[in-house]
Amino acid sequence: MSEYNVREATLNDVDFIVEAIIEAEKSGSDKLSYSAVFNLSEEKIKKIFRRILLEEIDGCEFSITSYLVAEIDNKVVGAIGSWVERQEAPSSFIKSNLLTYYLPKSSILYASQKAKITSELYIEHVKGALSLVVVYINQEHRGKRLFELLTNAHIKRNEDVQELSIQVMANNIYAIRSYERYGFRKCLAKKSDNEQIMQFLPYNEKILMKKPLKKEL
Amino acid sequence: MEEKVIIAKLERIFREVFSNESLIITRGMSANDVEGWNSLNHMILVSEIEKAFAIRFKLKDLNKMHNVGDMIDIIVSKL
Repeated sequence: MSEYNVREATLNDVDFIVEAIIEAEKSGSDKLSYSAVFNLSEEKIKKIFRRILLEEIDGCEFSITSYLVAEIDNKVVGAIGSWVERQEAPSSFIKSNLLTYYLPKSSILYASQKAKITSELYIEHVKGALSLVVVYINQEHRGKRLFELLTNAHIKRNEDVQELSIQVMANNIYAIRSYERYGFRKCLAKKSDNEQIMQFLPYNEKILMKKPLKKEL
Repeated sequence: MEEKVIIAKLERIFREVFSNESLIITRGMSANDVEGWNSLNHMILVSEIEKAFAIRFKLKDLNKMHNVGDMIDIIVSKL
């Protein structure tokens, strides 16, 4: 019987990583916030993300080096993007610099008119924690502990880290249960009562979950 | 353009983007010091700076911007 293999993502995995970012962002819905916020088609967004990933800039969700992938029979079936959030180089800046450079100016202008609505659910990444940001497992490989396998591998390559964090939309019950099984606990929720928010995001409530990592003495 | 003129112009952009009329910028100021300086507002800020100064940042310029002082230096280098 074949077993899953976990390895670092390479530029050959870029198409899968783009799919992972898109599907993770949709959070089980058909609403791609990047499309709605920047007023671009999903296809256009995918092309932009591909170009950004090929820049090989480290430290955010658009960095190939942030990803570990799980494969079976030489086929990639899951990926988790993760990094340690640093005070001196916030991932949100690295990400937004890349987007600013590649997105059409008209899209940024469009987003600026919607910023107040979408900012209501903004939660900063936890400084010093290992942030799991993009989590995506192909449908047919779910329930096979790939989240655990990939997360353990991320922890192994960041052994000095004492805490894990993850953000999830409150309607993604399946994901939340998986995270709770792994030991994550909800520690912050942000909810918006703005009626327009569902035009831009998959849900109107976002949760921050954390898990302390026990260190062997 | 003198640096103090650049700072004054930059300060007006910051006040507009972050909807804070009393915001005073300093060279050491970073996202941690300004309420609302999140990823989307950062994109808007950079776009407004490019428009106001009629410049275009390269990706390597953007990646060097860790605080307001870095922004000022890069703007100066492009004028």
